[in-house]
Amino acid sequence: METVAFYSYKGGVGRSLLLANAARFLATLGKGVVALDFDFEAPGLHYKLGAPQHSDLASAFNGGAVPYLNATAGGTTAPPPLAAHMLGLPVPPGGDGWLRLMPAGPAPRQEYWAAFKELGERLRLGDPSGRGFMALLDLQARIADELKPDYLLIDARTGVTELGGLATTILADTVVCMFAANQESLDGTLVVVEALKAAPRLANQKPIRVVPALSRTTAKPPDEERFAKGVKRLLDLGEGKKGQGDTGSAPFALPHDDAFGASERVVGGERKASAFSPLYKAYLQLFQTLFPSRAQPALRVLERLEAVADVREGLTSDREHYESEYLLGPWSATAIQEGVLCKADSGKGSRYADLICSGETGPPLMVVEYVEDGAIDEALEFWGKSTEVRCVVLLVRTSYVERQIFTRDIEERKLRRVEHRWDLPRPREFELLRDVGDRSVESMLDAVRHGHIEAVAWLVNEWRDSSGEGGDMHRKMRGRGYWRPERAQRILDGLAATEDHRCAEEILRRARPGGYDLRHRGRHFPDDWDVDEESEQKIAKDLFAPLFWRLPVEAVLKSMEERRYPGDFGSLAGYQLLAQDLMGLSYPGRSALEEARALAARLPVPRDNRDEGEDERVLMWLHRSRRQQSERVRLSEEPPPALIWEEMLREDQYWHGTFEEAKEKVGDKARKMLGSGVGLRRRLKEIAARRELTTQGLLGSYEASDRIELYPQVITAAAEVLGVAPRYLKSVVFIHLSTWAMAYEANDLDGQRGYGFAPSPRTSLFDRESPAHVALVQAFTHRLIGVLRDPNLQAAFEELSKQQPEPYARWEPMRKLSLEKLRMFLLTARASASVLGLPPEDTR
Amino acid sequence: MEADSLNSLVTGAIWRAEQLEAHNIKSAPQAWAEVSSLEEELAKVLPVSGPEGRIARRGAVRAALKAGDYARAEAMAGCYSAEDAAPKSLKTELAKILEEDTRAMARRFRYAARHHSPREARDLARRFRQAGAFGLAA
Repeated sequence: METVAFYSYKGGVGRSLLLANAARFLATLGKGVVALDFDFEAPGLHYKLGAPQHSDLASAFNGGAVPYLNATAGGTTAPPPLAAHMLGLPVPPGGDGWLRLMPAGPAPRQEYWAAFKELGERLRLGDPSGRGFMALLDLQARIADELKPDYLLIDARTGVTELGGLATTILADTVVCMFAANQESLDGTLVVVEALKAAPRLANQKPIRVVPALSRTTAKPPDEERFAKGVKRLLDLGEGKKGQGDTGSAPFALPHDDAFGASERVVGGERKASAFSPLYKAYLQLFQTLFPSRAQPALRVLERLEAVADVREGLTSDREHYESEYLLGPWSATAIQEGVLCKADSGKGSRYADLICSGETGPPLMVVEYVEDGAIDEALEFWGKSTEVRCVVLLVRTSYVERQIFTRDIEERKLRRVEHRWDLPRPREFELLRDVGDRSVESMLDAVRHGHIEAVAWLVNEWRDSSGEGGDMHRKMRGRGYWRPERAQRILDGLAATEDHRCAEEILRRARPGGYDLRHRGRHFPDDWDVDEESEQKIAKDLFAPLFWRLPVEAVLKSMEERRYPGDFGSLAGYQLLAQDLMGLSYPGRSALEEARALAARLPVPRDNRDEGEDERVLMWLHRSRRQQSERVRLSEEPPPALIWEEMLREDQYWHGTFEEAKEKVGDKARKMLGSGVGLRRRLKEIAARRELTTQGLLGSYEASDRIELYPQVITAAAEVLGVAPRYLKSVVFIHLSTWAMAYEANDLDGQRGYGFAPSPRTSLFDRESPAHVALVQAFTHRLIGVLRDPNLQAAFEELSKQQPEPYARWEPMRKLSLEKLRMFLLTARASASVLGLPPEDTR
Repeated sequence: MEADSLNSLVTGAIWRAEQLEAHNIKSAPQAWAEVSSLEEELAKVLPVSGPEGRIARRGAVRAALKAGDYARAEAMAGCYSAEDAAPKSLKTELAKILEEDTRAMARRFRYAARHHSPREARDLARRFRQAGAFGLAA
């Protein structure tokens, strides 16, 4: 049995707490431990150790060191049974040692203080007969002989007292001397340690071992030099932490820990990561020196706790590089259980898991286990065959702690190693993915197809990484072989195929140049993840613009509405791709704020607003322009003009009134037809048979009022007639009308709009678009669809043009024309009206 | 004081101490200390050469031990053994008394006695008495 006394010259340094932790730690590691409370003046070790009989101390328990010594102080041939003076304490789960406490007595009851008073008379330590000494030695020897513990830990009285002196000089093999970071405490401790080292020992005792420990190391000593000298002297006399400080040794420092120290929680022996704290870490380091035979286990516990605590912190932390990771969300603390003995689903066998992560309901999803190298197969065997967990994280102890992640598909049994991955699956990933280890593009796209918008951000980031765009870091990656254009194209095609409008909106939001994720990342990594304009422009062109034209129109319109703050408006990248790259025109992407400022500066100040400042006027125009912007493209429930004329002519084939008159006359009938799917399809079939399924006027319309309207009911019915998917037909119509809008609204090199391309006002039956204009718009529509490389759009476009008037089909012969030639035709067509002296730009 | 008077006082004190001890009364050691003092006084007036003198000396040491005052007993034993006229038998008997006390202590503290010598404990106790806790008063 080894006896370790815990002593402090001054109180309040956490002496009893350290003893309690050491006791539990040793018991957990399979050692037999007896803790002895010799702090008779202020007993309380039973509080620290949380004795279950704690309440008994206040009622039934009458044992303890003081009553025992009262009975044996004079010596006796029939000493009382030791068991009656001891309390058995539970050992933390998984521990296979034992722990007993001999408290000072039934403190704080009156009986204790009476017994303590009596002991003062009986246990005459100063009596040269040596009976007092013998009584203490007898107790120690009896504990050693009868209980045979490995360790006897004595809580020695603070200060310079007879009992404290004997407990340290005579009974102890090792004395832990705790002191605080102040001169008073250090000087007193130094005197006592010097005395301890010089104290006489019994014949069969080894020289006393002293381990100084600096406690609650928050405050700096007032005179650092003097303090340092004192500490050095202390280390010369005792044992410090090896390999630390200038002298190669430093005292063990037990840091102040508010959460831990204030509650006086005993965590010694705990294998739960949440118990891990700087103080616990310091304890474990101290135990390695204090109990040399337990140094290796202490080191292993420390490594295990550090590794598991690190994982736990990572699981619950929401500080990530990408917003996509943030969206997946960290594990909540309540979703993680620690130190659980898991039973196999079959009921046979069990295994200790350091962490278990579960969803809100259902079985555990992920386990984290710290294993020694060589026990991996055994762990996988158990978790794979005996449970249904979908992810197993093994923290494998080799020369360092390696993190190995194994996952499996929902329906599979076999766990597969996930290579090249360090971060652990997040809770949402278990919903998104069948196999959380499979973060392939296809798997993520599958999640998007199932409506999981969280996967969108991940895919967009993957596109950025794979395409080598997104700042200097990505350019560096490109140079290092991270550039994977085929993968980027697969992501783009997969995203473009999204049917779910909510996901499609999210895609556009994420893919928008200067999108949130990049800003978020830039904020956290300002040096590495800079966002430069050139890259943003490429992202706008290569990612956002294609998605803008390929995703469902409803989502595209929603993205154009989006406004977060003044000056923020939907990206014009889609229009710029069409207008600039294909049509050779300029469509400047001025911000709403710039536009509002330009308008406010150009227009006369209304009389009522003369008192307002410029900012107010800018805001007014901003508000107005935003409203207009959001209404420029819309899905209309109204019957299209061509359908009104169709109905009107059916009623009166000689009708020669205006469109408004016709609308008034047959508007209701046309609306009724829109509501009747069968009737509408029948009518569209007839129109298709005549090849009059016009984009402009029937499926949608672009008016000189700058508004594009799509007629979704008509488009859906037409798609059925044509045998194509409505969403692609809708996109084709949107592209066609947008092309027309660009041909009319975008500027040429002289800054002139294409007034010659103004759409027909359609006020009468005979107002028709110029066949040349239609052919040009179709040609550019076809070119854009070609650039987009979307076979579905291509098919819808071709099917539609077969049922359209002749000019709509002219894109086919025009395919052979060079882009330059097409642009030249376009410029000629646009200029024809302006040379006639049509109004300049600013009066619209 | 005369030996007769002291003898009668000692007889009464012994009877009283035995009674107190028999009834386990706390003040028995004090009573034995009183006996020891009276025997010591008697030893002063009775020569060591006579049997009464030797009885008084043995009594003084025994009573001191019963009073728990080993130091005094040891000191007196040393003193009486050093007397010029002290016979060898007295020296042997006094040593035996002290030895017997040590053996009695070993019986009363049997666990400690398996590991440490009571004599050693006594030595340490003496030094402790002189130097105080941690030996700081030395």
